Parts: sequence; structure tokens; C-alpha cells
Amino acid sequence: MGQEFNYSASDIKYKYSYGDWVLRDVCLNIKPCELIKINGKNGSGKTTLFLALSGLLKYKSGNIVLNDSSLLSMNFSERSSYIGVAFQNPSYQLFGTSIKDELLFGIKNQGYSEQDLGIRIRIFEEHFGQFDYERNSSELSFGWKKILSIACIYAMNPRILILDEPEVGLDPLSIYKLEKLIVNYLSNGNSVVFSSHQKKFLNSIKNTSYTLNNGILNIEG
Amino acid sequence: MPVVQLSNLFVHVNSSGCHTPIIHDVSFTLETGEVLLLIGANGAGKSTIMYSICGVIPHALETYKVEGKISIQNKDVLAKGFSPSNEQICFITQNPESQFLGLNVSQEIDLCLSHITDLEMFVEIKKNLIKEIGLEKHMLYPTTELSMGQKQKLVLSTAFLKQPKVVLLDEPTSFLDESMIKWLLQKLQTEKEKGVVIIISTHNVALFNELATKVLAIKKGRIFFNNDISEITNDKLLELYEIEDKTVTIV
Repeated sequence: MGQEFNYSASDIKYKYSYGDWVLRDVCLNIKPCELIKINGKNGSGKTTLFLALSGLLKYKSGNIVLNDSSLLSMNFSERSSYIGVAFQNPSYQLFGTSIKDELLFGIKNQGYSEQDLGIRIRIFEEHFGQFDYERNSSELSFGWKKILSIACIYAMNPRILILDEPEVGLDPLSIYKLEKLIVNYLSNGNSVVFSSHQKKFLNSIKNTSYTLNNGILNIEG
Repeated sequence: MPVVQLSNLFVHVNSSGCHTPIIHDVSFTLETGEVLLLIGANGAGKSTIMYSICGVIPHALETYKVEGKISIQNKDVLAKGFSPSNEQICFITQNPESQFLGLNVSQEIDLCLSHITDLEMFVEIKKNLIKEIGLEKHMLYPTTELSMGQKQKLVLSTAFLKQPKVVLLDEPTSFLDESMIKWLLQKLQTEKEKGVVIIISTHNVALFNELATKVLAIKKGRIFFNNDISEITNDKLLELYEIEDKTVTIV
């Protein structure tokens, strides 16, 4: 079990240079072991919300507090041990280097070395099988790029793992494995926040669902 | 006369000096109005087959070598000088971002309507299209400012504008929400009734149960089964994806 953590986002606002406010005073608390689903139509702002929650996007106002510190004031390695996001489009996340280098990038930035990689992705590989480390990530199919991009974030072992439509491009067996992996991750005291247009995905696991509509995040039920 | 015909297709990829075979001996034919689902595990070779059918492999991707025969409406796809647009083939790739030219939404649509010379008709078609996909407020946005789902629906909505005879869709529903999936299925049904041949690569057979006529399953680059949609059972799919847990339902 990991240590307790406190994560609280309050009154987050964001807008792009085009159009209206995408996030209007969004508040979200994340507790250890919690599975959170964010629902919303295409273009409702789910991805924007995830980038803001992870500190990758500088929100226009509001505050995210993680264990009494402001998320935006933390440096990369501090932040990445608490929160990590696997992007919707894996191409944004991969550099086109060897699979080993892709996996090492994040953990090296956290101060770990190549020797630590094995242990950090052991459980991931127990689910998905071992990666062919020398292969170039650009040769992978879309589905395998997606799996690799999730593995890269998983290796950093964030307490809150954000998955932006993680099942996209995955075959039924990989979806099955991913669900098992997420259950395992939650059981270790971590939290997972995700979005998906597939109703069945993670459906059987207790979760807190929210809907994002017109920039407002509401809890369901 | 079949519209699409593949005979003994082999595809090799040349990476760092050695030829690796990725597609082995794939053959099938499709007649007017048929809808084929191309299924298989991640990395099985679905996208490679799609790229080959429209000639992107080997004409544009020269590291690939193709053997066998592919013909569309009796034209040899592998012959030098083959052009998919001349044969009214439309291919929508898996990653919608790879299909934009970096313009704004309005301009991207205009490009797909360049064949229409009547101004009134042009305006009418464009107006209807924008309404259908609900991007009225986004016309002047650069496509980079759209969400992935919006990008995918924009690309899909333009697929049928030039009245293609053959449409290839590589995982077309991946980023779409429920209402857009419904829109796409209706659109595809109309095209099917017009006689368009549609090939869809997907992991979601259930979604296309009503629309599809045939299912071609690929495993490690080879045909695993080639059946009518009515013959597809859950057990067959579990075997294809090597899922041992028999309680999992896919269809």
C-alpha cells in the first residue's frame, strides 16, 4: 500500500484562444484507491480537463493542491510521482526511439536508472507480455503504440494515473488485460481517472462517474 | 464481376536490410454493396492490408514489397501509375490527424468539395455537412484546436463527398461518442444501399452486426477465418483473440 495522499482541484478555469470557456470552475477531489470516470460528448473538454488535472496545462484560474502544495509549483520529478497522464493519441507521447528508450525517458527524469526499469514495469509485463526492447516504437501498430504509451506512464508509478480513452485501438484481449492491470493498480492504493466511449470498459468495477458538459463537471447519480 | 479482388497477397517490410514478411497469402473478393469487417489482434496486419488495397503500399511507402494481385474495378492496383482517386477509392486512416493539411475546418471541407463547380450546390452541400456533424461554431478553428473525436468526425464526414465506389475505414469509431457512432452507421447503411463497397477495420464486431456482410479475421498476417457475418460466434472470436476466459463476451 502506498502512502495516503490528498488531491483537490478547485475552481479550475480554462479557455483556448478560439471559442468559449472549456472548463468553468471545475472542482474534483481524488482519494486513494478511487476509480473515476469522466463522461462527455466529443469536444466537451475531457482531454483539456486531464491536461489541467495533471499540471501540463496552465489553467487560467483556480488551484490544484496536492498534499498541501500547489501542483504547479512542483517540479517534474515531484509531480510525476503523484500524477501521470497517458495521452489519447500515443504519437504525441512517443519519440520514435527504441522501446527501451521510450520506457526509460520518464523514469530517468525521475532520477532512476536503467537497472530500475525491470522492476518498475514488472507487473505491466506480467499482464501484457514482455516488450521487444530493441524494436523502434515507430514500427508498432497503433494499438501497440497505445499499450506502450500507457506502459511509459505506468513505469513512473504515479499515485494518480490518468488514462485518456485508453481502450482506443486495443483488441478485446488487450482490453481485458488492461482492466485487470487497472484493478491491480487500484488495489495498491493508487487512483485511476479515465474517459471512454465504450460503455463496457471497466463497467464492472466500482467507480465515481462525472459528466463534463458545457465546461461544468457534475457528479452522476 | 467483383469490385475488389485480392489474390495471394504477400507483403514484406524492409527494415535495416532484411525483409520481414508481414502478410501471408491473403485472398478475398467483394461484390457491389458488400461490407467487410477486417478484424484481428493488435499488430496482426489489418492496417497493412488496408494500405495495400488502396495502393499506398507499395506506391508511397517504398520500404514495403508486395506480391500477388490486387484489383479494384478491374484495375491493377500494383501497376505503376495507379491512382486511388481515379478509381474513386477513399481511405480514412486510423489517426485522423494524418489527414489534415493544416488549414481551418472550413478550408479542409472546401478541399473535399473542389470537384463541385456549381456555387449554389457547393454552398448547400457544405451547409448540410456542417450541420450534420455539429461543427457550426468551429468553422474558423484551425483543425489542431479540435478534439480527437471532432477531428475524426470531420474526416469521416468528408469521406463520401466525392461519391467513392470503394471506402476503406481504419478503426473509424475509435474516438467517436455514441451519437456520432449512430450517425456513422446510418451514413454507411445509405452508402451500402447505393452499392458502395466498404471495408472496415475494427475491434468492435458487435457495432457493425447489422451493416456488415462478411468478416475476415487476420492472425499474425494470415487469414484465420473468412465468413459471412451470420457465422460469427463468440467462441470463434475468443479463439481469434486467444482469450481463455470463456465468460468474456465480444459479440
